[in-house]
Amino acid sequence: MLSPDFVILTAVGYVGLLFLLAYVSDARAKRGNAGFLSSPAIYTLSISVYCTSWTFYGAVGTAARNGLEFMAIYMGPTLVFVGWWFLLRKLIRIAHSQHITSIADFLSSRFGKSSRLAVLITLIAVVSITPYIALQLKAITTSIQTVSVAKGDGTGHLAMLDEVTLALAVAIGMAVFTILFGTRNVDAREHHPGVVAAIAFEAVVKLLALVAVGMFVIFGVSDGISDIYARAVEAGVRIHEREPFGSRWVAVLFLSACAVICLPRQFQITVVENSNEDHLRTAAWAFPSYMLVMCLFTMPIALYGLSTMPSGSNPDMFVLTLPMVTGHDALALFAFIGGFSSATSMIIVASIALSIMVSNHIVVPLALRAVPLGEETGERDIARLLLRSRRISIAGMLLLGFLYFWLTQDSDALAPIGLISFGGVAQFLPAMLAALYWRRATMNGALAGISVGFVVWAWTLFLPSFASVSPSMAELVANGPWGISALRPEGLFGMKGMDPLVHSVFWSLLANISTLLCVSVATSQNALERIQASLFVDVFRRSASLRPRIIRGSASTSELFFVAERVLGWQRAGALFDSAGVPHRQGNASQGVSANFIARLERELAGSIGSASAHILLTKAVAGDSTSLEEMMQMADETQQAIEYSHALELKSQELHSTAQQLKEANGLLQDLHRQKDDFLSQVSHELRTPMTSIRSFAEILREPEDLTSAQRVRFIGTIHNESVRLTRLLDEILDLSALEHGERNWENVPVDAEEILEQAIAVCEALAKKRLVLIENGARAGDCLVLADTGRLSQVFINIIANAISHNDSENPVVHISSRVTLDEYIVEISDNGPGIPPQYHNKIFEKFVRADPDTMRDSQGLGLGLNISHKIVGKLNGRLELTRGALPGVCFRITLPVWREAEPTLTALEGVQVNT
Amino acid sequence: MPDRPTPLKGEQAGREDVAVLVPFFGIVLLMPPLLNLFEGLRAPFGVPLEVLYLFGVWLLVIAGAVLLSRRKQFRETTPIAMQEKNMRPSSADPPGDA
Amino acid sequence: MTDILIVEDEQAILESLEFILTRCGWSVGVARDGEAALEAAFRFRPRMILLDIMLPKRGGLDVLKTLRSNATFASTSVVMLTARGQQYDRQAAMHLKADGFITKPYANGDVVDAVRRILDNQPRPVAHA
Repeated sequence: MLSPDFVILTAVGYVGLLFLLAYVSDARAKRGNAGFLSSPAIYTLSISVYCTSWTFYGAVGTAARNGLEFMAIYMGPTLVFVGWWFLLRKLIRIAHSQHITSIADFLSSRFGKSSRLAVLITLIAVVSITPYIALQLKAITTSIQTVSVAKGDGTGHLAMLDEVTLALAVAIGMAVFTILFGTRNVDAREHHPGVVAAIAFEAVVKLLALVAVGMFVIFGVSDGISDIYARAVEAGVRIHEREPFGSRWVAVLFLSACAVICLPRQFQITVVENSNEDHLRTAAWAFPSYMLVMCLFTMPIALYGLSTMPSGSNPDMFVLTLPMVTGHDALALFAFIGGFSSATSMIIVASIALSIMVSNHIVVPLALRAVPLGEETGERDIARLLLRSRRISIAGMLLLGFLYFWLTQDSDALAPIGLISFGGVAQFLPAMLAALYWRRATMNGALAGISVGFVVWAWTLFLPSFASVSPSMAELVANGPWGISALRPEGLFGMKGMDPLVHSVFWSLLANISTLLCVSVATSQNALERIQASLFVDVFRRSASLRPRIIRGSASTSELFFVAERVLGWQRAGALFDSAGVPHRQGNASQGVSANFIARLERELAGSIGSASAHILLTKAVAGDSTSLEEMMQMADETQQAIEYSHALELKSQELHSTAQQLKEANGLLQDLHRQKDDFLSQVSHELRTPMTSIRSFAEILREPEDLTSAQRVRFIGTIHNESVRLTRLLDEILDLSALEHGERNWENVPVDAEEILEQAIAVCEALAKKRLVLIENGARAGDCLVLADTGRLSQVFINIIANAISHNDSENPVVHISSRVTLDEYIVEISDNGPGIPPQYHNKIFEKFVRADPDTMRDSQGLGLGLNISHKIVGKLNGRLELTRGALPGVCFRITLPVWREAEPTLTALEGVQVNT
Repeated sequence: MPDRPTPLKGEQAGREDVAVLVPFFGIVLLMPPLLNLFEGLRAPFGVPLEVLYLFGVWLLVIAGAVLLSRRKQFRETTPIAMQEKNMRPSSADPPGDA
Repeated sequence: MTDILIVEDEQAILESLEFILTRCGWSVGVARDGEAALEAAFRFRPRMILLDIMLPKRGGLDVLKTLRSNATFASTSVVMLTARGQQYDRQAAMHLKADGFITKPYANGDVVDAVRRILDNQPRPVAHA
């Protein structure tokens, strides 16, 4: 035995777990990270909110009392889901396209956005669902009491609670829970990912719990299925149906099929919370499968309970009592949690769905009417109003449920209450089907049909459920009002021998449907109703409306010609008719014309006056009546699509234009590059041909057998040699440049002493300077300074620039001045000369290939126009800069700036570490 | 580009015809005259035949739904473009709902 | 009067041309840039000029244009030398009425032949005229 304290605390803990789950899911969904949460599996599981505690506990009770009838409650929805392609798919498509938030919204929107209809449906839903919520409260309290049957030792103060107090506590708890979950914010699309996740979780829990109990009964305490049936036969339990399947079976099948569409909570979960129409494809078989598994163990549990439990035990609680009597408290607790799951999930979703309807269709319109929206009433106030009204509605729903429970607590059968609710919401079905498939159904028809059906239902099914509450009610049910037996709730017009449920379903739906049909035919739709009707009924056809519609009908050729002449003029119209072989002159003008010709004429007319007008004109001429609203709608739709289409085309052409622009730019760039390449090749060609010319020339001179002086011979050979060297150097430089431009492989930057490299470069140039009689003047020096560089490359830069300075200097007393310094984080070398300088027009181009500022002084110098370009590239690769600047001397001054390598940097420490180790 | 699905008429009609099979047979097979054929009969394992029949019909219907849902012609994604385009609250909603 | 004026900025080429043409018995003058070329032309009044296109200070084509616009050099033949060998150089030279076009590197014999052809066909100016 479990103590009530423990059971209740377990339930509270479970609710806490649900809250956590919902909170996390909400947070994930808000971050747009829904992932698994928006999968068809979660969708299917959440639909199983259909299986409430009524099916969890009550199915066994129904099976025990009425045999296989419980299966009809599951098979009705199965039929609806396997037929998803026709009804549910259309429902979801419409709900998505029309932004539907509830079943009341759906029907009112279809019937001209009628608020009267919305209010009516909301009220009916509240009245129908209240018993259902009461049923859940009853299930929870009964199950708590059952699973924690106190031994009378009074342990735990919660044991003192009686049934009503317990139910009130559960109602309050559920209200708080639902308010916390369902109204945390108002989502425009009424999506509650957190709630859906919690419901899906509960669906798994209740399935597992029922399967666990079922397996326990079949294999734990019995010896398989046949053992259970054998034992039932032995105990005298009827295993066959007491009565043949008949009208009650059909009625229950029908009601449950209605319920899975029309129950506000099912509509909420299946239609409103649906995020992807394609999920329905999975739910179509997965949800029936879920119910099949739920159903599998009902009969064995019922039979086993009937054959083993003492007579008088409540079959509704067999799921709990069977494990308990065998001492399996843990299993009983699990079963209790399963039942608790099914009850809470129903209460949560039903009260959310109803609160949306109540607040959207009743509270908010009233509030807005009472306090007219002024300038100062902002969006936030409305959101707050909505939230508040939702919360109050939820609390109100649970209060009503509790009151119903309190009033009917003496009636102990759970199942009838469920079917009463089903009967109530089934009144929506005729209007619903009409909304989906019957264009002519009017708002008045729907309103009247639902009202009449509801009244009949309330009289024949709802009222009798109060029979046990008071004697006067029992008297009324038994004998009819004022003794008029023709109005007896369970035997209208003296109908006898009928099951009360079948009786009620028959009369209420008969009245409902016939009223709907008659009133719809008798009344007419207003414009908005027509528009909405067309939007709903033709939801799948709208996108296909661009297909040409051929106008059918009969028109005399003279009428057509009259129309054509007015638009096209006599000549063109005549030519058109003649070319088609259609006579148009008076006298022979009244023969029929083909639809193709009419279509062709329409195209011609459309060319002049636009397709919509052409269609109207021809429709008038052909059919003889004015254009119907649907056609206007269709045309408007078509125009809209045409506009969108042309807009899309425009976008495309803009896109093309910008692509063309980009291609043009890219092409320009390519052409530039191509020209640069040509220039470069041309330059290279020139640079190669020049030394080649003198080499060839002197070689030919030397080859001829004429006498040359030996001095000449030596001189010519020397020239050939020098020019060969020049050629080699040129080739080297070109390869060097190519390597630099394409990224060199063996280039490794390591910390090196820049000052030392500068010293070595100066030493190398010393010889050249001496030959040219140039004085190298050392200015201020930086002292040791580490930079990150490749020694060879850095040396190349220094030598190149110093050599340039030496060889370009043609002043009287040529001087090259070299100085270096270190700033905070840069090492700077300046190499200046007192040469002629570089003319200003070359300053920008000096680092380009083959640019020589002073070609005439370069004749025998080693620079070929590539040196500075190479140096510039190298320095760039060292993250430094090579610039032309003003220096100590009047001529050219090149400044090389390199970032200093600080010892503190970790790489250097690592490097030192390596050096120490090796 | 606005999507303009213009499915072949024949294909669509065929689709409807196939889709109607499962619910039709489901309803027919669950009607009392057929159910009552098995009244009082016992199948192996002592289970009444009508129970087996009901579960059999149920399984059959589910299998049919599975087969249908796998057929290519029933796969159609929600036309998102249309959905977005119509994402406006209907005027029956209170103004603050959006 | 000089037979040939060689205008060339590359010392080695200048030296080789001077050597082979002198060896053939012509009198030769030299200039190393565009301006020096014009100066030398006025001074030497050469019968023909071997003119490099890529020259410091004043380009070869520019020098040719100046020469052609001056009546003094109406009868002076000009043969262009170029290392670039591009088509548009040749066209520009022909447009400016150059008498020949030699692409570097050349065979010595080709230069000598070209010079000889021109000088032989030229009516020898009467001495002391």
